[in-house]
Amino acid sequence: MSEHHTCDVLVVGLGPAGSTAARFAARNGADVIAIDKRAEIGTPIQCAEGVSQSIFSQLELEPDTRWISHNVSYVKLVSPGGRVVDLNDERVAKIKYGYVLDRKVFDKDLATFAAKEGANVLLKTRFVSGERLGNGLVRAHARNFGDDVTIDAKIIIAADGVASRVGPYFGIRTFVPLKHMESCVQYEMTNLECEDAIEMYFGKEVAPGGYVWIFPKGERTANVGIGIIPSLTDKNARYYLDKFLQTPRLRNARVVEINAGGVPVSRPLKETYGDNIILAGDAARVVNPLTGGGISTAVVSGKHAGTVAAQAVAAGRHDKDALARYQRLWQDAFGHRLEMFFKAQQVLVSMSDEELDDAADALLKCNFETLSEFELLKAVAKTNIKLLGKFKTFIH
Amino acid sequence: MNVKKELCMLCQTCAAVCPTQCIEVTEMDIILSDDCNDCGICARACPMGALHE
Repeated sequence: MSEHHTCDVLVVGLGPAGSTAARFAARNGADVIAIDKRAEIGTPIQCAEGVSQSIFSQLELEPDTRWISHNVSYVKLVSPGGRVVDLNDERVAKIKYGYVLDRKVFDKDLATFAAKEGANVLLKTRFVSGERLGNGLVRAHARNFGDDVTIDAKIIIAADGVASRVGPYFGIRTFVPLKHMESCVQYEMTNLECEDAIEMYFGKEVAPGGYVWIFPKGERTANVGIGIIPSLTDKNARYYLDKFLQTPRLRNARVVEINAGGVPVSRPLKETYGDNIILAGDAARVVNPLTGGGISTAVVSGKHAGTVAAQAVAAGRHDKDALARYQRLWQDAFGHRLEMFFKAQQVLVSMSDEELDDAADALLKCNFETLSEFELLKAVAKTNIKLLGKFKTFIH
Repeated sequence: MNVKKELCMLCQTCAAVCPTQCIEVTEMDIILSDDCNDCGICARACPMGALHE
């Protein structure tokens, strides 16, 4: 059996980027179909679930307590040699709370909002291939509950994650070089004492090229995960995480959920749009390469993708020039920051354990106005003459 | 390349780094096409150690 659909905008993938794109495309008058291969939005989780307060204003939503597992009030950095840098309200003048989300609830609600705006959400629908039609439209071939489905659209928004299959069918190469891929495993663990802090542990023996994180979810439960750069080691992420779990504090903790995934820690794609196509979220690699955080950038890119697509359709356009504004919008919003974070990530990956200890010592001598990555990098550059060369980019 | 399916989380990290884009991860399975040239990059990227040459 086969079905055929037509629409203005087809969104592939209903993570935060895709659901937000579908919501804003529908809100701005487009006829939207949004597909996802999963039976339930929000699972499996492929992230540590940490976000800043600003995410809800970016989404134009009032925060819902159901989305928030736990409030976090400070950040704890632990260097290879065991220096503990607490970035709390005693050392940061204008500290803001962050959240550890419950992505299963949050993501599902974002998809629900898209549907409420009028998007036709199709679950268990997997993108298989795409083609350009002679009439200026694009066609997606998909499988829905095992049946063939074709969907013709004026614009397709690829929000299908780091391993985007949509982009290549429309001329946008999306593969990620190994040195720019963070390979991640995360356990949700219980029987674990946590403070209201995001904890990050660094070091070549702990997490080559990345870090181990502990993000508290409340009620003695936390996301304990790791990201490593696989080109720097011959061991896999699970090996390092299981080794970290041998620390005395975690010996009695128990795993109640396992998740894995890849996070692109590269620059964003050079072109995140083309004729009839926009890429958003991880598919466009709009991720903070320094932390691997991508929820905030995903929703902002999704919002712009959906809005620009709907406006282009209303103007009777779906060519590359009509969609170029999308890239300008996300670049204006966070492009400069991602570029700086990419440079910072390259520096951090190159640092020895001794240099990481030195950086921690530098941070311990400083107080900060706000808790931003830039302030931390500047502080290291200004305080430690040995690291000045590596970090001088961040002083100005 | 061989997949130890009992270790695979279907997370798609392998598909993202595959230079020949020959790996498809569906909601239930991982499929390697004949274009695979056994370069081993997917095995290095896999967080779980599920892929082997």
